[in-house]
Parts: sequence; C-alpha cells; structure tokens
Amino acid sequence: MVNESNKESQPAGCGLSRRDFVKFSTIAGGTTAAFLGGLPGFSQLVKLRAQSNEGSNFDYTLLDPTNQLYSVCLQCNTGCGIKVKLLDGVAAKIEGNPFHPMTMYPHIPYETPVSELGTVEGAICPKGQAGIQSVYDPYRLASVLKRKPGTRRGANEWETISFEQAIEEVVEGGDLFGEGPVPGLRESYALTDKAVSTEMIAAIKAIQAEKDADAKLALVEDFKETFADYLDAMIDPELPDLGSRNNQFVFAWGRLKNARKDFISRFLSAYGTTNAHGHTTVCQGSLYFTGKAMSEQYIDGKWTGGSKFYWQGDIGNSEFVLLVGASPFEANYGPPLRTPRITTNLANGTARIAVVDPRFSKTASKAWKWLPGKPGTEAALALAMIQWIIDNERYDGLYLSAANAAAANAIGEPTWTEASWLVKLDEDGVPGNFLRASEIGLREKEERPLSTDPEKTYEFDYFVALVDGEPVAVDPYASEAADAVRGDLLVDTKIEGIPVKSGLQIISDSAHEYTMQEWADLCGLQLDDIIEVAAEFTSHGKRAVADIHRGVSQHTNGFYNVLAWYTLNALIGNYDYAGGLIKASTYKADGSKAGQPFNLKEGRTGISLFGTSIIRHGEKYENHTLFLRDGYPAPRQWYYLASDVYQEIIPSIGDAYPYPVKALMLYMGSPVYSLPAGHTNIETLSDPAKLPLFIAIDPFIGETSMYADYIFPDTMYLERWEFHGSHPSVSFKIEAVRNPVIAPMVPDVTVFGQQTPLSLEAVLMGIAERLELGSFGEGAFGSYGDLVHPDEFYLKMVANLAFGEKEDGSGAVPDADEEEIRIFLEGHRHLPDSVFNAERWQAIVSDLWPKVVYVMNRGGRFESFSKGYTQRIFPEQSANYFGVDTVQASHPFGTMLNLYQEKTYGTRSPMTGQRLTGYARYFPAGRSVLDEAVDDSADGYDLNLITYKVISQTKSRTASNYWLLAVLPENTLEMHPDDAEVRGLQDGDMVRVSSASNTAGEWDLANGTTVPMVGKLRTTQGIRPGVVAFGLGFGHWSYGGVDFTIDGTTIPGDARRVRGFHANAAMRVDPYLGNTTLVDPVGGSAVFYDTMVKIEKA
Amino acid sequence: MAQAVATSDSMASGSSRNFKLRWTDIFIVLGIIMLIVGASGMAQRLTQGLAPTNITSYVPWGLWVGFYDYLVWLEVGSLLVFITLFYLIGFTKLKPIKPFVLFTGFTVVLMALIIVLLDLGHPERFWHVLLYPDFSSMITWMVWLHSAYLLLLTVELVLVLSGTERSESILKLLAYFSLPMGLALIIVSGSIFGVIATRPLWNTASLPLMFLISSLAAGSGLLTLLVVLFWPDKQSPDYRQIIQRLARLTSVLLAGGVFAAGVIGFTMLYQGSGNPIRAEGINLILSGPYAWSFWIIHILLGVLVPLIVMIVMPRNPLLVGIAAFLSTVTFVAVTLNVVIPVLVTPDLEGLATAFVDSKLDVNYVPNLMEWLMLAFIFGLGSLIYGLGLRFLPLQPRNEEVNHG
Amino acid sequence: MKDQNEVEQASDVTRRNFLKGLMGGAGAAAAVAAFETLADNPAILLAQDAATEPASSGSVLSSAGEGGPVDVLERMRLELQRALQKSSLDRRWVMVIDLRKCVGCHACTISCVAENKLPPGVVYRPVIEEEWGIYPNVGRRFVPRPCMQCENPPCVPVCPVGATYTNEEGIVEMNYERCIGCRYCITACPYGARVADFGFTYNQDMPEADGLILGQAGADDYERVANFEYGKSYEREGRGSPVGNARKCHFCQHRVLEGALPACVTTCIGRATLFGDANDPDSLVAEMIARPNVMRLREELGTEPRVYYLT
Ligand SMILES: Nc1nc2c(c(=O)[nH]1)N[C@H]1C(S)=C(S)[C@@H](COP(=O)(O)OP(=O)(O)OC[C@H]3O[C@@H](n4cnc5c(=O)[nH]c(N)nc54)[C@H](O)[C@@H]3O)O[C@H]1N2
Ligand SMILES: Nc1nc2c(c(=O)[nH]1)N[C@H]1C(S)=C(S)[C@@H](COP(=O)(O)OP(=O)(O)OC[C@H]3O[C@@H](n4cnc5c(=O)[nH]c(N)nc54)[C@H](O)[C@@H]3O)O[C@H]1N2
Ligand code: SF4
Ligand code: SF4
Ligand code: SF4
Ligand code: SF4
Ligand code: SF4
Ligand SMILES: [Mo]
Repeated sequence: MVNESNKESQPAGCGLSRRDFVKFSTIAGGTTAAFLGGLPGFSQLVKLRAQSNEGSNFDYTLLDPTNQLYSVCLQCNTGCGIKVKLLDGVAAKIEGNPFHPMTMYPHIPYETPVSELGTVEGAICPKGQAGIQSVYDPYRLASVLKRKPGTRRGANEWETISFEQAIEEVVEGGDLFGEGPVPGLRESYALTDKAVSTEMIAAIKAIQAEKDADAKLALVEDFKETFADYLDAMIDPELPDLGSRNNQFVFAWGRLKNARKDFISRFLSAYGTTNAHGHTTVCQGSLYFTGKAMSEQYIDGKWTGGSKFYWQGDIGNSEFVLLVGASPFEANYGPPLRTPRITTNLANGTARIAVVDPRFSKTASKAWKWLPGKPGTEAALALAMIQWIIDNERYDGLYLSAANAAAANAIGEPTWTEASWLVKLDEDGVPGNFLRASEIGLREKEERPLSTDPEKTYEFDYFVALVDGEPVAVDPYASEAADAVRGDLLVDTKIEGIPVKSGLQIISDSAHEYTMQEWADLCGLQLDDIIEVAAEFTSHGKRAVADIHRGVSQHTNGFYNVLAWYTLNALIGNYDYAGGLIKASTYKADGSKAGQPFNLKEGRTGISLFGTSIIRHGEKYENHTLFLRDGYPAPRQWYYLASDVYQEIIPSIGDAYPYPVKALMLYMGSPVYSLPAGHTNIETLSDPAKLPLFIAIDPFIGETSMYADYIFPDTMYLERWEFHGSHPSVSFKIEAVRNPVIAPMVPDVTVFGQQTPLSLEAVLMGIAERLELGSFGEGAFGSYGDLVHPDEFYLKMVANLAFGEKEDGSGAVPDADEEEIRIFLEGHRHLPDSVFNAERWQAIVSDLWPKVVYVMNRGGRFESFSKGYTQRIFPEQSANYFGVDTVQASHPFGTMLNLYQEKTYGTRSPMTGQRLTGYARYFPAGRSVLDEAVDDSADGYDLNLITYKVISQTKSRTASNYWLLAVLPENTLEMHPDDAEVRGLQDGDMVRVSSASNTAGEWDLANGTTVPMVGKLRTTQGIRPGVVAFGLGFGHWSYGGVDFTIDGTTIPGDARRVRGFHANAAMRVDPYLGNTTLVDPVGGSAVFYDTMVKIEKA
Repeated sequence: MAQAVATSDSMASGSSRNFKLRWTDIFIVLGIIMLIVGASGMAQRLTQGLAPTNITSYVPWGLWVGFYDYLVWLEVGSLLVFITLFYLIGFTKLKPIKPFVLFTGFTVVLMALIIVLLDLGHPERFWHVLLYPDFSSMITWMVWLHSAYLLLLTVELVLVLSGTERSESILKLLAYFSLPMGLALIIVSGSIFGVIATRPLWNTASLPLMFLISSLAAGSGLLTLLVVLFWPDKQSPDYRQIIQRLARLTSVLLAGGVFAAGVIGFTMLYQGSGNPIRAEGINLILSGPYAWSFWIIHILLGVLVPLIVMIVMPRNPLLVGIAAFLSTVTFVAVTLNVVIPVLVTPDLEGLATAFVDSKLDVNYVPNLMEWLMLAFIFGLGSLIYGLGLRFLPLQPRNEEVNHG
Repeated sequence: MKDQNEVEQASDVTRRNFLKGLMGGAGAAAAVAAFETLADNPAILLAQDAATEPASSGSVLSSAGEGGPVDVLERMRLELQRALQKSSLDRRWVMVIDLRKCVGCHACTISCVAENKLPPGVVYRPVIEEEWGIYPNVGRRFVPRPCMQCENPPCVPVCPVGATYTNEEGIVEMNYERCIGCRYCITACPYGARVADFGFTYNQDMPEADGLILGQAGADDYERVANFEYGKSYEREGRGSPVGNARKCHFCQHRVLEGALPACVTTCIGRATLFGDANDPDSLVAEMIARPNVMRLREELGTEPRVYYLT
C-alpha cells in the first residue's frame, strides 16, 4: 500500500518552488505589511499560492473499481446498497451503491459497466458511514463462550470453549454447569418420521374442527390410539395439537433477511420445530398484520392468503405527504431513500408535508403543519378526516364504487374494495358478515373447483352490492367487462328483512361516532388544522398519501389505527399509484420460480411442521384442546391474525404456556433491550429451571446474550451473505446481495470437513452434522450435490437471482465481460480461502458464473428506474378529478383490499370471547388484554412516555460507533418547559423515569446489579405538553460497556458505550399477563407509547 | 557569556571561599523545588504533546499563552521604563540596578520563550519561523523580535558584566535600539490579538495601546521591586528617593492603565451593544466565571492596593516593595483575561454540541498539568536566576556606586 | 497530484463511457425507453424534476448530458469532470448548502470523518442545530459548517510559517509538515472551521485480550490506515503530522482532482450540499448562487466565503 518513501516528507528546501518564490517576493514589503497587519482588514489581503510541494504523492486508490466491493448496509434495517472501499483489505470507507434505488434518485442504469463507477457514489446516512466501527469493534468476541460453571446466568463470567466441544455440549446436553442435567438438542429431536407427522396433522385438524367438547375428547383418544408408538414424541398426548417435542426447541431472531432466513428455515425444518419466531411485533407489527388482514383474498370460499406486508407512500411523486408517527429524516425505511424525495420536492415547491407526531421531529421541522396529536388517538384523527371527506364528498367515488375486478379494470384501477358490498348487521346492530346472494335469493351458490385441487369443488356464494338501489350479485374476481359491478356507496337499509349497510356506510358511521369538534378534542388538536389537512389531502388527486409508521402501529389499538389510516388512503384511491401507496417488490432468489436453476428446497429433510407455536399464533383459541381445559380468559393472549410476536416468546417460555421449552436459540436479537418492559424477560432468561438451555448467536455479549449459556460469535454484515430485499416505498423490483467484502474477524472452524468462518451457518451446520439431520452435508443438496459450505447455498441463490424470473431465461442479466471478471477477481484478492475461492465459487454455479459475477459486481439486482412505473391509458377514464392520473406502480398490489374484514370479525378475543371489529374504528389506547383501561395517572404517573429513533443510533448495534457518539453522546428526556416547571425541574437536571409497573425506575439485571433509568432532562418547546420522549440507542449495560471476565481475565468495559439511559423498562406491563408489555391483541404489536410515567429529580 | 562568567571576579572569588548562603539563594532552592514539583507536567508535555492540557480547539490558547504575554510585558515594560529613565531622562542614579534589570529581563525572556515553544504543537519545528517566515503574521514578528530581543539582552548583559568603558557607549547605543524594539514587541504582542477580526474583543486598534500601558505599569512595578530587592546600599538617601520616584511613576502608570482599560472597555461595551459576541465577551470578563480573577486579582490586588500604598506611603520601601510585588505578580490576570474569555465565546452558537469531544469544548479552565509544566519552567527560570545572582558579578563595583 | 493531461484524459474517458453506459449498448434500450416514457408521462417527469434541480430551461437534460434525468449527485459529478478539463485558474469551486433541504442527519459530518480518518476532537464539518419558537409554533434548522474556503481567508495571513495558504484551486489548504502548531489560525477563523489535532485515536484505551475479543490491535486498523489529505499519506503513528497540527476541511481536494465529489456532498441524503465550478454558467452551483435566497455566513467580515447558503 503506502510506499515507504511516501510517508516521509521531502526536505522542504529542495529547490525553490513557485510557492516559495511567491512568498519571498512578498517579503519585500514585509515590514510595512506587518504593521499594516496590526489594523483590522489586513487579513483581507488575498494571497494566491501554488500548491505545496512537500510530502509525496499518494495514489488515491479508493476510487479504483478493483478496490470497491458492492454490498448492503445493515446498520439499521433499511438495507441501503453500499460500496465498500478497501485499502489493503481493510474497509477504509463506505459509500452508497449507486445501482441501488435507496442511495441515488434515480439510480444509475443496471447496465452501466462497473469499470466506470469508480467515482460514482450514492448517499447513505451517518450510521451507514460509521459501519466500519461496528465491524472493527474491539469488543467483538473471538471465541465461543460458555457460561462459567458455578456462576449464575448474567454473572458475566465466561470460559472459552472450542467450537467442536460447544456443539457437542449443546447437542448432547448433560451436567454442563454443575447444576444438574441439561437437555441437549438431541433430546427434543423426537419425531423424525415425515409420514407420521403428515398423518398427525390431519388428525389434529379434525380434532380442532370438532366443536363439541365430548366429541373432541373422543377424537383425542382416537389420536392416542392411532399414534400409540409415537406418543413419547409428543409434548402432551392429551393435548395432541401442541405437536411433537421437536417444538420444545425454539429459534428466535431479531434482525433477519432473506438467504440467511432460507438457510435457517432449511435447518429448522430438518429439525422439525414449528417454533421459529421473528421480531416483527416489536418493530411495526400491526402495520404488517393490518396489511395482512387487508390483503386476505376470498379463495375457495374462505378468506386466506393475506400476506404479511405493508404499504408506504411513493413520496417522491406525492404532492402532499401526511406523515403520521413516522420520521423518514431520522428513521423509517429509510433516510437515504426517502429524504431526497421529500426535500427536493419541498425546495422546488412541488410538494408539501404535514407531520402528526407528539414530538417536533426533524421531519416536522420541514412540515407545513405539525400536528402534535395525543398519543394513541391516531385513529381518531384519521376518522375525523374521513368524516369531513365523506360529508364534503371529497372521496374518489368512482374508485370506491368498483365492487370487483371487472369494474376496477374498466376504470383502470389496479385495486378495488368492499366499500359498496353489503354487510349484515347482527342482533346488536353491529356489522357482521357480508350479505351473500343466496341469502336473499338473488343468485344460487355455485360449485367451483378448488384452487389447490381442481378435482375438488367448493360452494361459491356471491356477495351483494346495490346498484342504483337494486341488489346485484358480486363475484370479487370476475374480470369480464360484463360482470363489472359499480355499487352504491352509502347504503343503510333492509333487504328481505335483513338489516344491511354498505362498507363505506359502516366506515362513515364509525367516522361519525363523534362530532368533528369531539374528535379534535380527543386528539388534542385544533379543528381548523384537521380540516385544512383533510382539504389538502383531497386536493391532489391520487398524488397525496398518508404515510404511517410505528407511532401509529405500536399502541394497544395499533391494528385499528393502521386500518383507519389505510382506509383514509383508500378514500382517495391512491393504492398502487405514483405518489400514493405502493408496496415492495423483490426478485425471487430461492429457486421457486419456474426455470430457476437451483431450487433451495432440494434435498430438504424433516417432518411436516405442526403443532401450536409457543406464541400461539395463527390458531383460534376456541378450537384448541387447551380451550377445553382453560376456557376464557386464556392464560395468555393468542394471536390468530398475527405472527412473529416477539414479546410473547420468552415470557411464554417463562410461564411454560402452552408448554415448557427445553432450549432457546437467539439470533441477532436483543429482546431484553429492545422490547417494551423487556426487563421482564430477564426473569425467565436468568432461570435455568424455566429455560434449561439458552444459546445465543451474537458477536457481542449484549444485553440479552449476557444471560446465555453459550455465545457463538457471528460474522458481521461486511463479512457475510444475506439478501436484504426491498422496502414498501420502493417501486422498483430489486434484491440486494450482502456478501463478504472483508476477511471475517472470527476464527475459521471445521464443519463437514470444510473451513468456514465461525458464524450462524457454522453453528447450524455443526449441529446438523452432529445430529445427522440431513439437509446439510455431502450430497445433501439433492441433485446439486453437496452442502458442506455456506457458499454452496448462497451462490446458488445469486445464480437464481442472475437467472431471473422468466422460465425461458430471458430475464437473465448479461454475462460479465472479461474486464468485469478481472475487477471482480482483483476486488476479492484479499479474502481468505474459507470465504472466497474463485475455482470453488465458479464450480458451484458452473456456467452461470459470468452472470453471478455481474450481479455481485453490482451488489444485487435492480430494476431500471424507468420500469418502476407504468402509464396506463384507459378509455373509460373518469371525468372526476381523481381519475385523470394514470401513472401506476409497475409492481402493484393489484387486487382487492379489505376495508371491511369478515375474517377479523370472525375472530374472537381469547380473553373475553368477544368478536373483533372488522373495520376502521376508534378504540382508546392503553388497555389490557382483558380490554380494561390501564390508567395510572391517578397514582401520580401523569406523563405519557413515548420513544423515537435518533438518526445516529440503532438499538444494540451502534453503541460502538464512536464517530456517531460524537454527534450525540447520550440521549435526553424531552419535556415541555411548562411540565418541567410544575415539577420544579430544570433543563439539564438528572431525572428518573418510573411507572406503575416499575416503581423503582430501574433495570434489575438479576445478577446483583441494577441500572437506574436516570437521564438528563432537556426541556423543549418541541414536544406536546403532558408527553415526554426519549431517543433509542443509549443507556446500554452490556455490549462492551461493562467489565466481563473470560477465562479469568477481566476485560474492562468502555464507559463511552453506556452513556444516557434506556427507559423501556418503565413501559407498562400488562396487568393480566404480568410479565409482558402492553400489547395490541389484534395486530400483535408490543406497545411503546401508552405508558404513564412519573419524572422525578434523581 | 560563558567567557564573561569565567572571567568575572566574583566567580573566581566565590570558588575560592567557603560556600555561604545568601538570601538570593532562595531562588535556587525555590527553583529546585519547582523543578521537582513540575517535572511530571513537563514529562507529560514532552511525551503526550498538548493532549493532557485542557486546551481545546475552540479555546486554543490558554494559561501558557497568557503567561507568555505576561512575562513579555513584565520584561519589556521594566526595560522600557528603565531605559527611558536612565538614558532618555538621564536619571543615572539608577545605574547600580542596571545589571539586575538586564539579567532579570534575560531570565524572563528566556522563560517566556520556553513557554511559548512548548505551547506549540510542533516545538521541534520552531526554526520554521526563522527559515520560512511569513511576515504578514504577527507571530512571525513576535518570534523574530523576541529572538532579537533576547540576543540584544544577552549582548547587553555581557557588556554590562564585562564593564569596560567602551562597552558603556555600545550599551547606550543598544539601549536606544532596544527601545523601539521593545515597543514593537509589545505592540506586536498586542497585535497578535488585535488583528483577529473575528474576535471583536481583541479586534480593536486600542488593544496594543492597552498592552503598552499595561506593560509599562507592570514593568515599572518590577523595576521598583528590583530596586527594593537589590539596591546595594539601602541606607543611602538615593535609595529612598528612587523608591519614591518609582512608586510615583508606577502609580501614575497603574492609574493610566486603569483609565485606559476603562476607556477601552467602555468603548467596547458601547460598540459591543451592537455586537453580541463582543458584549458577551465583556460580560464574561466582568461577571463570567473568570470575573473573580478580574475583580479580585487584577483590580483589587493588582491595581487598587498597590495604587493606594504607593500614593499614601511612597517612602516606605517595604510597603512599596510589597505593592510593587503585588502589581507585578497579579498582572498575569490581565493577560489571562485578554486571552481566555475571548476564546471561550464561541464563533458560532451551537458548535460545541454539534460534535462533542473534550477537545471541542468552549469551556476552559487550566488543569493541574498545565500549572505543573509552568511550575517547571518557572523553576528553571528561578534556578538560573538564583545561580546568576550568586555567580554573576551583578553587584556594581564600589567605585561605580560612589561615582553615581 | 496527477498530471493535468492525465486527469483530463481519464475524466474524458469516464464521461464518454458513462454516457455510453447510459445510452449505448445494452443500456440504450432502457435509457431511451426511460427518456420516452418521461417525455409523455407527467408523473414520472415529476419524479425526475424532483430528483434534479430544474435547470433554467426547466429541463435538466441539457446540462446533464444526453443521458436523461439523473440524480443531482450525477449531474454534479459530470460537471466536476467537465471542470477538471479546464485550467485550475479558470474554475472556481464553490459549495452551496440548501438549508431548506438539510435535515440535520450528520451524514456529511461522519462521511468527512471517515474519509479523512479524523481522530477524536477533529471535525471539519459539524452540523449545528437550532430550535426556536413557542409550542406549537416551533422551528428547527440545521446548519452544516465546512470551511468556507474564504477568498480573503483570515486564517492565512496569521500563519507565521506559511503553512496554510490558498492553493491554485482557490482552496485554503494546509502544509502539515510546515505547520508548527501555534494555533494562531484557529483563533483567526471566524467560523470555527479550524481545529487542532491533539493526537488521540478512538481506540486508544481499548483493551487487548488475544483470542478472547478482537481487542485494540484488531480493531484500530481503519484508524491507522493512511488518510489521503492533500494527496499524501499520513499513517497515524507517533506524534508526527498531522498530530500537533491545525487541520481543516480542504474541499476534498484529493477526491475532487480525481474526479469525485467531496465526501460530504456525495453522501448528503437531503441533497442539500452542492458542489461545483461556479465559473461554469451551466453548472448547478452557478445557477444556485444566482438565486435571491442565497447568503453567506458572517458576510460583514469581508471574508468572501466560497460556501453559499440557500435559505
Ligand atoms: N425505546 C425504544 N425501543 C425500541 C425501539 C424504539 O424506537 N424505541 N424500536 C424497536 C424496533 S423498531 C425494533 S426493530 C427492535 C429491534 O430489536 P432487536 O431485533 O431485538 O434488536 P437488534 O438491535 O436488531 O439486535 C441486537 C442484537 O444483535 C446482535 N448483533 C449485532 N450484529 C450482529 C450480527 O452481525 N450477527 C448476530 N448474530 N448478531 C448481531 C447484538 O449484539 C444484539 O445483541 O427494537 C425496538 N426497540
Ligand atoms: N436511525 C435509525 N433509523 C432506523 C432504525 C434505527 O434503529 N435507527 N430502525 C429501522 C427500523 S427497525 C424501523 S421499524 C424504522 C422505524 O421508523 P419510524 O417508525 O419512522 O421511527 P420511530 O422513531 O420508531 O417512530 C416514528 C415517530 O413516531 C413518533 N411517535 C412516538 N409516539 C407516537 C404517538 O403516540 N403517536 C404518533 N403519531 N407518533 C408517535 C416518534 O416521535 C417518532 O418520530 O426505522 C428504521 N430506521
Ligand atoms: S438507513 Fe443508514 S443505517 Fe440504515 S441501511 Fe441505510 S445507510 Fe445503513
Ligand atoms: S497552527 Fe500551523 S497553520 Fe495554523 S497558524 Fe500555526 S503554523 Fe500556521
Ligand atoms: S473558514 Fe476559516 S479556515 Fe476556512 S478559509 Fe475561512 S478563515 Fe480559513
Ligand atoms: S469537503 Fe471534504 S473535507 Fe470538507 S467537509 Fe466535506 S468531506 Fe470534509
Ligand atoms: S448530509 Fe446533507 S442533509 Fe444531512 S446534515 Fe449534512 S447537509 Fe444536512
Ligand atoms: Mo423496527
């Protein structure tokens, strides 16, 4: 790298440079100049000088394409494309990958040769820039750690242990800590016969379908008889629907993306556990699960197939953006992607934004209007706007009236809703199920073939809408022009004696539950402001959007908040439109598309997964055998409509409900730190009686992994494979490939005879090898041969990506030419053999190699800018002002979205047995799972605590980024000066945060230490009075911030990493659940914003 | 100089006799103690550069620069007053004190130079100023003048100590030289601050003037002190007369200094009303965290007390000596008040919180290490001074005293 | 510094090839399609306008070349490469910071720190945050502060050794080897744009525990690798320069002269920081500094900053 002679500066005197000459010529007048210098203004004398000659040239090699590798950031979850610049194999600088739509707008054409991109760089946020410090973190673990026998969990005393030994102990169990026998993973690897599992699933289905209690019990007896040989493999033969003992191994993750997800899923299905749970609900759970409920389709006579996803605004094309509980300049998905789209339009005067946030965020600082609404009243604001819009007929009636695909097609709409469908009212006048055509004799049921099995049929019953007052049968998906139904929108009538209302009428009634003024008072906002915003929202056709995020979803009423805002968007029909709501679109790389070269399912072993998950999701409580045992209320919440309920995993293990768990493997998550009331998890994690074996895969001793029995270090984001996918506000189809760009800073280990960096993959393969699970090993990849190194998995995925999604291969990327291959090979010259070996890599993908190189040279696959939108011209274009705009997202949602949800209505609370509401409605926030108000203000907890993300931090991954800590070394508690004054507090005071469920205001680490929730007060006019806020990412108590001991060596922690405070432990525990935060029982969200706290001088 | 020492009588006689303690040896003892005490500060400076100081990028000059200025003021001021009285006004009675004035000046200038050298990030590149000077910079002038001044003083000292008739005329010539050079040095040391347009408190044409008056006041105080300490024949009527005259001169200069400072301060406050940074700087001096140093050290101990003493009891050598000592010593507060509070007023509001680091702080209070290193240099100066007092033939020969 | 001819040639080639990438070969179809779609598609045009600062003609195409609409980052990079073909005396580098677009993300600050391997206490481009008003009428502003590269730089004449000076490009730069570390220039800069390097590193007090954790020696490589200021390498070792020196923003001369935008510009997520040759009438910056809402910091001092702010 640096030439020795370059380091030395040449003697300054060698030859009189031009610069010296210039200088000496000025000396002539020196004396006078000096005295002149005494007078102000002298400094304005200009001196132009030649550049210095001293020092030697240094070739700025970072702009050379062979020193640049393209990958994906993982400092936050956004996953912007990055270009890592290397100097002697060290990551010297990170820039944005200009191919990736998140860092350039428009992103550069995919075809641009990489040889020309040396100086082309996209923009990334400060965390992305600082990623170097995440990876080169002195506190990264260099060896597998085992809790020192004889010390309790969390004591932070460790021993190093060889990888092989660790795998053996984890699999075989035994008296590992001198505390008695610990069950290993082999013990729970109970049921291995796939055929048996398939039969059991059928039997269990029958049991659950049986409504009659006695008959149900009889079926259970039958089950026991049929599977008598396998009963010891069951968790509880009396409760067969819990599934097999394989489920007693739980795998949980925080941050997980494609490819690694596929790898894990291959492992877990080989093992046979259904317990694989992510962190969605701590993140923006109810956004996802409202999205899922809204996207359920009527297939084979039932509502199914909804996808876990959500919409965001295509804000670059919006003329008005209403950001609700979302802060794209600080967090969100993500600042590099969304910020330039907003700021450029703002500066050009082509757009306006308004922000609904109790806190004056950086985003709000650019807003035309800041609406500091009361936390938890988000739906109220949406409904107020809906009321005004309906009363003033500012909605897109044409769009809403389209009752089916054919009607939508006719007006060029990609989506349609049930706004005109008729819904029956139940005995209490509450909207229930949709009216069916057969019920009023309008049209008979039809036999239709099942989509899953065309041999079989089901009975299709038409829905009903009124057209000009006359009932018409509606087939939602009929696409023939003749079948188009445009229904009446506001209907409240009786048909054949059945009281019915149209979907929009139900929404309207909900929006009229309060008067405009009452709504305004509920939200704590000015009525004028609400009306102005509603007017603005409906003044830009479909180029307006209400873009929502965590501030909307993470409440006990999160599901309905989200539904209300998505309903509001539907009123202007902006789904799938440029400037409206769009969804993400990613290239499939798992080989599931026809023609793709490598189907990752090849060679998969294992049983058919079955049984109740530890978080009890996707199942109706009242169908379960447990319901017979426990009745209402259930001991813990069940989640029919949600999954990945993070806050339920560990407390459920603690309560052994619905069954005890033997081992938990936690990957890249830190529930103790990140969950509201995360401290409650410590209780379980620190107790081997509740959780016999706790394995963490974590490069650090983090706030949660500190309680583990074993910590396996992992490769970090610049060292590993992962496909990061896209985000909802990206209209282009993309898939970004994270790939190793630096040599891993973990040791190599041997699995299946191969050297692999110590990582998640090594651990899973090591376990698979020892347990002989199949799915991995020699010849385990079916027709593709071996799966003995992670490369063999991931490179095949790249090959799929390169091949594309067209069966005939016409969707493939071009071959990398010689020059590109040279750049690729040179660019990877610094990587060790265990990571990169050109021959091995080429062999894995054989003739697709040049295409694989092409994709990797670009850090993934990205559709060109022009393909993100399509112009659609339709003859029947509406004359009303909503219809003229026909630019749509190229990858539309494109089907029916459920403004009225029969399936949601069909779900009961497992606590009260009450039915859920199937439409946008305001429910007060801050309620327990029993639907009782949790209001602690009477006890002196009189301030509403909220939290937010600062641009410079994430949760548990940036505390080591010293560059970022210079920008903000610690967080503060933000409070309005009036609130401070009445409490006798002053700016800069140290204050304690406590709540009714954490009166001491501290984290009890169950290891003899407590961490006070004490932080610095910052008074600001930029927060709603009565609300206090704190930023995320500070107040750590592990992650290299405190001392720990390995093999008797005490390693001192770094105080810089633990500054500030973290008030999640003040967040309210649900009074019924006792060891879990407040939750949104429908959407599954963990609740961050509905806690009343006390703020006192510390 | 080495030669001068070698040929001096006292040196020869000193070595032949038994060692006898003199009161001036207190400088040697003090010097050694301070060297020991300050050693760790010096060691830190040498090994870790400026890192251990409390100097920041937003307050880039601190204690050391303040002391540098102070020492320059003292030394130049005392010499200026002396030369003016002795050569220009012809107050030749002062002659016996001349070697002391020169030697004191030499020591002080040397200390000042060491201090400012160690304040550099790269002291080893000191010679750059001589080799690549840029004369648009006041620091260049300061360094050149300072070096030249040191050279001049050294020559003068050697000549005085060699004590020949011919040297006396050269000395006179040199004295005439050192007069404008000293004036220039003071003005330049004031201009260093004065040209900084961005620091409104410094950027006044009157700052160099204030520096001059202050320097003269401090210098005449030092001169008075030297007379009190080293006058050979304390019984002589000359002594009292000289004391009285010097006391009067000092009090006039002190009063003048106060007046000047007051006028300058007032005009700055007046102008400052339109300039928030300037007003803030003045407020900082008058009522900020450093206000005590201004009011108590500078105004009360450094000005008012000496002024009263010198006006009321100008004939009491002891009291005048104490007063002179006070005004001499406390003048350091003036320089510190010029340097530091101006810097702690940030250029742009909010800079210190934009990127947080202990070296990007706008607050500055010198830390122990800075004081220790200073102590080390003062120890060095004190040791040199004590050794000089012991071994150099500074005491005038008898006949010269009589002649006077 | 590279031979001028070499630079010209290199950038010429890059430019041509990039355009070819945009227009020719396999990319041509896509690019042309994009262009056509744009022409008759109002919504996409909006997207395009949004991405790029509208040129005086209302279209960015003329100034960005024939390749179709591009991110301002691309436009500026192409303009920069155009400027590099001129003699250094004919160009005038300026930076324009649009405060309406700056979102206070500090990416520029950190990018600069990372690019120049700035140690603790050294920062070239902090972003100052201000808040004002009374609830609910509150305002907030973010003001990035690089070196203004004053045309009358008060920091230059005060340097006793000529260690800081305006170079041929008009950039006030440092000669680290010459600088004696007197910090006079720091006091002279009206913008606080100069800082001293006291010799710290971020990892300096980190523990070492071989085989247990990565430790200091494993972690601090990135801090010790050369920085590239002024086209020279300075490995951070001992007390040699730049330790002990005054330091400042240099408009990323080492990048600019190689055809890349300054590090802070290229990573500006708000696209608030613009850079280019103000002498090029077609450049984005030339256009921007002619706007009525342009101002410079502490104009009254007569420093004539080359950094302009749009408000
Ligand atoms: N107060 C407050 N709390 C919040 C939020 C908030 O806004 N305010 N936001 C919430 C949100 S949106 C989310 S998504 C959650 C996230 O919560 P989590 O998903 O639980 O947390 P992460 O920070 O993503 O993961 C942290 C763990 O991963 C480890 N880790 C880091 N890098 C790697 C790696 O490369 N490999 C492996 N195996 N492990 C690694 C860390 O050491 C740490 O233990 O936090 C939530 N918590
Ligand atoms: N800097 C940074 N960026 C990130 C991440 C990160 O950790 N750090 N994480 C990524 C992840 S995982 C996620 S999920 C996204 C989250 O992205 P966002 O949801 O946009 O970010 P948050 O800060 O969690 O919450 C958004 C806003 O909600 C406001 N808010 C709080 N309570 C309420 C309320 O009751 N009502 C309303 N209306 N608003 C409220 C907060 O003040 C905040 O401004 O960010 C991603 N980007
Ligand atoms: S938003 Fe920032 S931290 Fe998140 S992925 Fe993008 S660059 Fe990385
Ligand atoms: S610190 Fe260096 S650049 Fe600044 S004035 Fe002193 S010698 Fe010159
Ligand atoms: S901003 Fe400061 S450092 Fe930069 S040129 Fe101007 S005076 Fe010099
Ligand atoms: S131009 Fe370069 S040196 Fe100056 S602030 Fe920007 S990144 Fe830093
Ligand atoms: S990167 Fe751009 S938007 Fe972010 S703080 Fe800097 S100038 Fe502002
Ligand atoms: Mo999240």
